[in-house]
Amino acid sequence: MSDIREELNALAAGTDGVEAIEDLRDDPSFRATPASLHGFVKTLRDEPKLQFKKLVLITACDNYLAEPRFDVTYRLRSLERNQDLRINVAVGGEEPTLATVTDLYKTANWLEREVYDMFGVRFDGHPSLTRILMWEGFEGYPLRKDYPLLGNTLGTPGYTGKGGKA
Amino acid sequence: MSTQVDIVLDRPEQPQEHQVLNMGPQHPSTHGVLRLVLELDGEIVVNCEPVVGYLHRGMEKLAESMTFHMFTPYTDRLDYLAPLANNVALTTAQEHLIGVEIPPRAKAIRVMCTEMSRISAHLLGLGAFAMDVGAMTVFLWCFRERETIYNLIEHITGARFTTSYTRVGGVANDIPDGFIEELKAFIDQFPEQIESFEKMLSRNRIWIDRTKDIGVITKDDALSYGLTGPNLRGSGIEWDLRIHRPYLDYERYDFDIPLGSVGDCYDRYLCRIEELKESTKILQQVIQKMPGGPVNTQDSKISLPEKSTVLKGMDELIHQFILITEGQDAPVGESYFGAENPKGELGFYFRSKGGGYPDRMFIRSPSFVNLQILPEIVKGRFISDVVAVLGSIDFVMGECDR
Repeated sequence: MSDIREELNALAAGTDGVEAIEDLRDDPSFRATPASLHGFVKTLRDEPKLQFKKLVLITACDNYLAEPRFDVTYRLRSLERNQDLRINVAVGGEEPTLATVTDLYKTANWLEREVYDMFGVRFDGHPSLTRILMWEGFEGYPLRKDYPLLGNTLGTPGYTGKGGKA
Repeated sequence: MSTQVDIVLDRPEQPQEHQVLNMGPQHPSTHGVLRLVLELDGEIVVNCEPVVGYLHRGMEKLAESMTFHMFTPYTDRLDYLAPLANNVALTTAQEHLIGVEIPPRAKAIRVMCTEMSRISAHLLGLGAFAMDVGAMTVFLWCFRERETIYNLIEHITGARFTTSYTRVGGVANDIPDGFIEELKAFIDQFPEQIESFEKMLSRNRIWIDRTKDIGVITKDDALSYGLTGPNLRGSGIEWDLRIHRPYLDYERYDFDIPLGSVGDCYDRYLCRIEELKESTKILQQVIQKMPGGPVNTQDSKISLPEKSTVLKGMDELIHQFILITEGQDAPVGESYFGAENPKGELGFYFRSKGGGYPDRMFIRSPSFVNLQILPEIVKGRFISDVVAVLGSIDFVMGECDR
């Protein structure tokens, strides 16, 4: 296990905008800038010695009131080396935007749509960035910390205001 | 000029017009509330767009305002065909975050729960798949066996579906007296039942016509689409978290990973049948090797104290109060743990700022990820093949939509 960690650290040190970070449960973890993300992921996938061919998840966290506001997490897996790694990207601003990885992993399509749906982080170059779990025309981003837990019922189709405590 | 003529004239002058068919969300073969927008050329599917989200309940948002124990009942409603396996996956993920080691007996009980759920989930998957393509008998036979498993589960947990059996640091209660004998009786007769399913299907001409070379998933696609579970192994990729990342002492048990070769519906069916046999093998070994000892960790900051001591002792009362009101204290940081569930890898990503509530919890549900490949493999096939492919991918919308 230790040698793949050294390989990864060396790769990260040689890539602009990528640095290794500490992890609670000791998985190899990196922080990348939005500009360096796509190139770094591509290298990890295509490097014959590493072969991170599988994208396990993409998700985001909201650091409400802090800037940059969102922390997007990617988790990649190499079946050959039996190793996972985590890449975090901080993204903020009025319209937080990242480069898509749908050209590298087909599974990223729905995962990125979900992050867009729930947090409003956009992905440049995504084939069809639309809402996936919420309906078209829904306003707001439910998993943001400033979205009320009981929901914003104004404008919900079929909601009459009677009966619910929301 | 009548209106009739107007309508005819309005039609675009295309010799082959595609028809859009809405399949679901209440279609019986869509295993819940999946909606498929199919673009058809006659009976051939030209394009397929799955529309998900009808069962979205906002579980990840809810988890942010709950202690770790409070979320356990929600996992019963994820993959509602294998609630026990979800309980185990969630709690093991929480223990991974908090850093808890549980006693060997609790691990063995959890393995037993997971494998029992796997058998019941695969039986339903198999039965529903068979019924969708017209084999009613297998469905009824599968449900008969599932009934026995649910009786067993009821015996351990007191509930058939809403089990909520695991606790951080162990399980809610030890297995009751006489349970092992009941389980043994089930395991002893179960291989015979699997054989009868196989006799009914494996060489059945209609079944083979409906499943062989239908919905082929290549190795590259399986990897790129991030498939897990029997769908990945059906395409011939050897990956099972129970073997490659042993958790809950899975390395103590001897079992194989069944692999497919082509990656069609028939291979996925065979994989599930073989996994039923492997799970039975694991259950036999669990019974033989069941260790003794406590079923909960003795750390009173993690695990609830005995109720009888709470009523007498000061320390125990304080621990009980703190655990119920504030929950277990998690360290600051991020963690991810994935468990091999019947449908694939069910993973929980936690981000904690300390304290008893997660700052963010993400459920990596296998059904959501696996379903995405559907348009790719049904394009150019008949509508009836869509039903077969849906059955063979074996997803649950409760888990997909969360």
